[in-house]
Amino acid sequence: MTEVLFITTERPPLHTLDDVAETLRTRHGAVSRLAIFFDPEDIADSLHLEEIHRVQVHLSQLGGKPVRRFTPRWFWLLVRNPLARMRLRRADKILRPWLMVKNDPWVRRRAADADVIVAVDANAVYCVWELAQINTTAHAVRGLYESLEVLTKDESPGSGRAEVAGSAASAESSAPIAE
Amino acid sequence: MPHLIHLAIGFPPAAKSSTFRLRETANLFAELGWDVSVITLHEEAWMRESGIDRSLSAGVHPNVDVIELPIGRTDLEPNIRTYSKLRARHPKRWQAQERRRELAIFPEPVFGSWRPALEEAVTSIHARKPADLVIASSAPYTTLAAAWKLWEDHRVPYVVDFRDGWSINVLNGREAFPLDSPAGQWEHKVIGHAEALWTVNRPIQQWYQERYPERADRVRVVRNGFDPMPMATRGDRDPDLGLTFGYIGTASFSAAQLKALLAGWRAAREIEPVLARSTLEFRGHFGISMGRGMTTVARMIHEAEDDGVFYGGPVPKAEVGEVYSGWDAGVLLLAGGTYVTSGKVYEYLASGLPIMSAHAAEHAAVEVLEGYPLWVPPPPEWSAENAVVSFVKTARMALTTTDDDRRKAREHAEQYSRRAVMEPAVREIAALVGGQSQPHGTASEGGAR
Repeated sequence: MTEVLFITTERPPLHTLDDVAETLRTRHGAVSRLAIFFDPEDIADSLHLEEIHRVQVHLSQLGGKPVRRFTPRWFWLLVRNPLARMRLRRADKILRPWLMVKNDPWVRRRAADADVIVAVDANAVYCVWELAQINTTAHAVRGLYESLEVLTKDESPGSGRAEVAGSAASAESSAPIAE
Repeated sequence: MPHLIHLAIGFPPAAKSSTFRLRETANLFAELGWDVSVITLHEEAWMRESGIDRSLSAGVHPNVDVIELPIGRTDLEPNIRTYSKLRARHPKRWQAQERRRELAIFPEPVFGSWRPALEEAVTSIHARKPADLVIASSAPYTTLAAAWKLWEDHRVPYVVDFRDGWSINVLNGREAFPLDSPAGQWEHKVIGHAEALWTVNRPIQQWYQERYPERADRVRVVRNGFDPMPMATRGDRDPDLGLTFGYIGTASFSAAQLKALLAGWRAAREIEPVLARSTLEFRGHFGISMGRGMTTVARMIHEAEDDGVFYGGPVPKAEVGEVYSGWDAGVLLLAGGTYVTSGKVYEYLASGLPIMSAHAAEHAAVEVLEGYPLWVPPPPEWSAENAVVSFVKTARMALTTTDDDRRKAREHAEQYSRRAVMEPAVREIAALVGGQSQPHGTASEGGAR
C-alpha cells in the first residue's frame, strides 16, 4: 500500500486536497494522511483522507518515543525541556513545525512508513526536508499535486519503482495515470 | 536557404501566453523558405513553470528545428531532496544568494544564470549552419545576451522581439531601471545595433521611441493577434436556461480585481433574474506544479461555488474554440493599464461573443476593442458596484445577440488575425537581411525605414 503524508502549517484549500487524495486513492491505490498544526475544527472532514492529525508539543517524548522515569534519558529530558520550551518560543515559522514534529510519535511513525512526504505550504518545507533525512527512500516534494506527479513517474514504464508501486496499487488504480 | 536562429523560450509545447507568437514567427519564416532553429527549454522545465500543451506542437512547420536546452528555473524545483539545508531552513537567504549569482552573470533575476547555456547554444548552431538572422524574443531578457554574442563574434544581424518591453514596468507604467544601471546599459547596447525592435502595442513603442530617439525608426508594433479557431453556431438564447459567462487565460489578474468581480457577480445575480440562473466559468492554468490549486485566486473561485462560479481547468489550444462556443459572453479580466494589451483580447474578439471589459478604463486593450460591436466597455473605475452594472449590461446584450451579430463581430476581429498582424513584420525583416521574401501586405505599424 502506497502511503502519502501531507504536512501543512496553513489551512489548505480543501477542494484541492480532497481532489488530490481521491486521485491518489483511485489511480495509485494510495492512502493519504494529513498532519496539521492548527485546530482540526478549522478543517472539514475529507472523505478521502485516512487520518487528520494535529501535531502537538510532546516534551515527555524523546525522538518520538516515551521515556521511563529515572533513566538517563529521563534525566536528559529534565535538562532539555526548559531549553526546548525556550527554543520553541523563539523559533521562527519555518523551524517551529520541525521542533514540534521531531517529538511527535504519530508523525515520526507515519513519516517512516511514507512513500511520499509532501510539504503543502512553504513553511512546511524544512520539516519535510528533515523527515526526508530520516526516511531516506521516500519522495519528498513540495505542492499537493506533486505527490501525483512522482507516483505517476514511478509507475511509468522504465521506472525502477514501477513494479513495486504497481503491485501495491488497488484494483481501482487501473485507470490511465497520465496527469 | 537562409537560416534563422530564434531564441524562443516558451515555444510549443509550453503553454505560455507568448507561445503562439513564437510559433507564428518561426512558421512564417519557414514558409518564406528559411531554415529555422528554435531554442527553448526542455519539457520538464515547462511542466514546472507554465504547463504544457502538446496539441500546440502539431502546428509547428516541418522546417522548424527545435533545440531544447536542459536548463530551467531552480526556484520552481518541487523535489525537496535536491534542496540544500540552507534552502530548506533559510529560503530567503538562499534566494538572495541565488539572485546575487544570477545578477553577476546577467542583470536579470532568476534567468541570468541561463546566459552561458544560451550563448553556447547559438554559437554551436551557428558553427553547424551559419545564421543569417537571430530573433531574441523576451522575456527572459537573457536571450539578448545570446543574440549579442553572435553579433559581436560574427556580425549576425538580430531583431529584438521585446513584446512587453524591458525598461518599462507595464503593470504600473514606470521605468523598470535607469539607463545607467547594468540592465540599462545592456538594453542600450543591444538596441543600438538591432535591425528592428518589436513591441506589442503603441504605448510600449512610444516608450522606446522616446527612450532611444536615435533608433525610433526601428521600433515597430507587431501585435499578438489571434489564431483561427472553429466556432459553432449557437442560435437564440433561452432566458430560462441562464447564461454562461467565461474567462480564459492565466491568472495574471490580482486577487483584488477578482474579489470585486466575484462580489459584483453575486450582487448582479440578485438584481437580474437571468443571472441568478447563470454560471461564471474560469478556464486556464491557475497555478502550476507546486503552486497548483494553492493560489489565492484559485481558492477564491472555489469558495464562490455557491454563486455558480467554477473552475474548469486548463484548455488545450485545439479545444479553445469549443470552449468559447459554449459561452454566451466573455469576461476580459486584465491586470495593468496603458501598457498592457494582453494576447487574450484578440482571442476574445475572434470568438464573436459579447465581451465584458473588467479592467482599468485606461488600458491598452481598449484601443483594440474600440469598434467591436458586442463590447461592454470598462467602468470608469473597477469596483464591485461597477461590476454589477457591467454584468447586467452584458447579460442583456447576450440575450439579444444573434448568430448574425456574432458573425459580424468576428468579421470585425479579422483585422487582428495573428497572420495578418505578424506577416508584414516578418517579410520586412526577411527582405532586409537578404532572405527570400517579396513585399506583401501592409507595412507593420511604425513606418518603413
